[in-house]
Amino acid sequence: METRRDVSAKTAEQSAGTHLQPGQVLHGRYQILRVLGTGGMSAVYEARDLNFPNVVRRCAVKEIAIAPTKPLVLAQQRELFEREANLLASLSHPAIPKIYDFFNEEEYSYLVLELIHGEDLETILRRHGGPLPQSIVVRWAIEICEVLHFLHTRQPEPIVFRDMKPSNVMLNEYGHIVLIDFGIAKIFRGEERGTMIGTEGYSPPEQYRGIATPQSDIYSLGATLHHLLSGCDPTKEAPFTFHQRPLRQYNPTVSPELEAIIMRALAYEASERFSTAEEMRRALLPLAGRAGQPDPALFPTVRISSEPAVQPLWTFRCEDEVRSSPRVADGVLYIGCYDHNLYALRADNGQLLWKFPTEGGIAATPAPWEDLVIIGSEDGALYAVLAASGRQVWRFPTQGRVRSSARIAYNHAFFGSDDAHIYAVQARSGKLLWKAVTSGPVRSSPAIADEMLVVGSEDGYVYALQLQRGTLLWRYFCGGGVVSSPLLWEGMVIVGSTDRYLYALDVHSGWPVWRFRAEKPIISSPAGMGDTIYVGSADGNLYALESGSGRLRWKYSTGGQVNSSPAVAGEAVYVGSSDGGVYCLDARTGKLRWKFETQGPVVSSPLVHEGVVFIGSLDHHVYALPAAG
Amino acid sequence: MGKKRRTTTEEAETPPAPAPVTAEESGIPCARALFSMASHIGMVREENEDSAFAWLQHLSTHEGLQTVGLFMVADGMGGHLHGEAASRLAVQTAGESLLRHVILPSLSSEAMTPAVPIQEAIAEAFQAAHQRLQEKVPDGATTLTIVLLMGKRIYVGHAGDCRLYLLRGGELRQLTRDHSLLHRLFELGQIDPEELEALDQDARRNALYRAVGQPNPLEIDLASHSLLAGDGLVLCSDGLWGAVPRAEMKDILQQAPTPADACQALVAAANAHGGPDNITVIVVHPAG
Repeated sequence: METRRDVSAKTAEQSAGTHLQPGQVLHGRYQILRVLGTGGMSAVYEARDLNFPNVVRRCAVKEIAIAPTKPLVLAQQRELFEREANLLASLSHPAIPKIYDFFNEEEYSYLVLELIHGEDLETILRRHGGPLPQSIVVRWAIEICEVLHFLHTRQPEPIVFRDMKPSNVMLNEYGHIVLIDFGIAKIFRGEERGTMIGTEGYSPPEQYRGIATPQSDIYSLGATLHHLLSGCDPTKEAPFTFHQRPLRQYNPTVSPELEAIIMRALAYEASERFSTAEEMRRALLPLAGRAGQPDPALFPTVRISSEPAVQPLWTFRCEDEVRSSPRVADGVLYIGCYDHNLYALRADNGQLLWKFPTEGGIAATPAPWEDLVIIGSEDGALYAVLAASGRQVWRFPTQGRVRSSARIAYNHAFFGSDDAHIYAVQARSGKLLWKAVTSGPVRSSPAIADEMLVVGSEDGYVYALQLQRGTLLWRYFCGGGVVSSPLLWEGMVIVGSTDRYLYALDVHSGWPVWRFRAEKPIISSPAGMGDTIYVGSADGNLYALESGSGRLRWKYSTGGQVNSSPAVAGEAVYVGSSDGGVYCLDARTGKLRWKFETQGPVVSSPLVHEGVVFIGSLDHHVYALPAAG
Repeated sequence: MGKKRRTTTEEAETPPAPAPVTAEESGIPCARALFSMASHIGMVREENEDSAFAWLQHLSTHEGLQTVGLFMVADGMGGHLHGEAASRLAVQTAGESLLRHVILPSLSSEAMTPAVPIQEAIAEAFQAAHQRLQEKVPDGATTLTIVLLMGKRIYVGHAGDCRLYLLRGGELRQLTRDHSLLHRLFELGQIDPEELEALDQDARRNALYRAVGQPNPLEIDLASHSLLAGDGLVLCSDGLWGAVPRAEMKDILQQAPTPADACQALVAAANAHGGPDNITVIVVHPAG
């Protein structure tokens, strides 16, 4: 039945209507009793077979309207119809209605079939008003696999059902499934013209290239089961997007095993689906509570193994919490610590080279530049020390703690202070070039592009300043303080705020392009890779967003706040969480690759350098972890 | 637009610079954006179901000259006047929404900063059009692509198979993706990239899975792109891209001296290829 429940009124394909009236006798034999259904190019009637005058023998008459076409094409279509009808008439299976007769009259072809008393699964689903429970659906699925297996093993050629969907599966009066419609009606479908809406929803990709195999039926069965279990009609969704609607999010009764079976049936590549309906049936059987445990071999895509243990390459113990984030230059790792020291460690083995004491704890990230390392301290100063020895070269005092990390460009260091100022000082001498005032502590670290510096302030503004003079180019008010450090990406400034939003602003004008709302403040600084932006939130998630629109791609929930800033390298994204974990996730899917547990919250941001992840923890340690896990 | 079998073009042009120097060279700020639009019924159809809108303003602010433009193309479907009504209503409703929520506030506020992110305003304009169509034209639906030009950036909202192209450095690149079954198959790797352009004339490209006014909740694509000096934008209905191969479109755009010439030549080319569908095109040179 061509049930195009999409906007079929908007296509050239108008409903065939019901051209036979009750009481009318068709083909001198079938008296029409009533209309059972209509759709697209066809109608189904209940009729009485007058060849049995002494008993009431009822049957279903399916009428298929033939689209106008050339006589030669019509002759070919009719021949194909007769061949298929003959084929079906030879089948004998309890889940397939018997074909009694077929004939052509005027512009219509007719099939006379066994009348099934019952309801189709689409009607049942609609009446239920939501996802159906796994226990029921699995029972139906097993029966459908049985009849598909029967069809697919016919000789000399397998019969492909071609049109598996809830409306084509009936539940008869005994509670067993019956396939009520074969793709036979499609033979007569006319050429569709003009723009129209709607796709089939249940058909696999290859079917649109004219390929229909037993694996195509398996895909359509997967789509049908997904619809029954999720309640989401695939004809109303973008085609082939089942994986974007994980079943278990819609229906808590669905087990991981059933979800894995259905997703395997829905693989884009036919070769990745079950090879036969029988194989799928065997996978489903244990879920029907009939026997045994599921065969693990059937779930190649589901790995429920424990997280693999990650062994650090080295660790280094400081005397206090490590909130600062590491930087590596010339084989040396620099990191600050709340024990007041800036440490220089050998990146390959963690051996201490030197440490430089400031007068306060260090939360900022060091900036190696030429032969210097520049870093701010809670004592209110920015320091430059020699990279080789840790000897101080200059010290630039401010009136507040320096938690902002200095960025070096054009031989100058740009940074903020809790004294509400943004500073530009000569990197070689520590001499002031300019300072600009905001209305709150500046803990965000500046981003620099061409002639422009962009930084956030606790006063709620993002400031864009002219680089040479520090004059204001534009500012944008976020609803809350901006501790997060801006990322310049594709002509946009991307930055988080304590008002829970991540903002994307046009770099030239400061106009907001999009914003994304997390559940709690965004302290973390965003990182970008390709067309994806990654950022953490105090709500515990690491988010991956589409850079052009701010749409959510995926999120990963850690056990604590994610105020650490993510680092992207290769195909993976790394981030720390206040639950003590360092996480490595697949950058594309957000799936966990590995997790390393430290003994304290991780607010430090990872640095990935030559296959090694460097990060600090509030457990007083600096860790070097293999990026591959 | 009109049902007349002739090309209608409208052009807005800033005064040409008196000397052959660019604005940058002369140091004199000068708004240089040019645009034009054409819409034609084609050679086969009985009605023009496309609708379009194009508008551009220049404004002097304390930060210099600011250019703001709004361009829309919609291709209606439903037949029997429903398609025409759907596309026209969608363009009117979305245009009204954006003028009210983005453009008028930007005139009155300091530094022109819009109150809500521009992409949220575009999404809202789509929802307003979607709702209005469901109420007023239940049997019609339409594709709709909106391009909002603000300064050196464009903001794009898109549902259906009208296309936005960027002409940059001699390359004509498609910035939108068609919401068609065919393109979805391509995204899944079921159709090779070499095959795809040849399939622009394939019947299956007409099967859309997303349109404004259809009975389902509307999802749209949102994007934003930075512009460079010398960029050209082409916004068109499938009557153009379905008829004229991309290489030919590119040649026409590169040879036409003005957007108006480009629009006329593109429509003529589509009709020379049989004009199977309505043809609507907007060409914008954001920096002249």
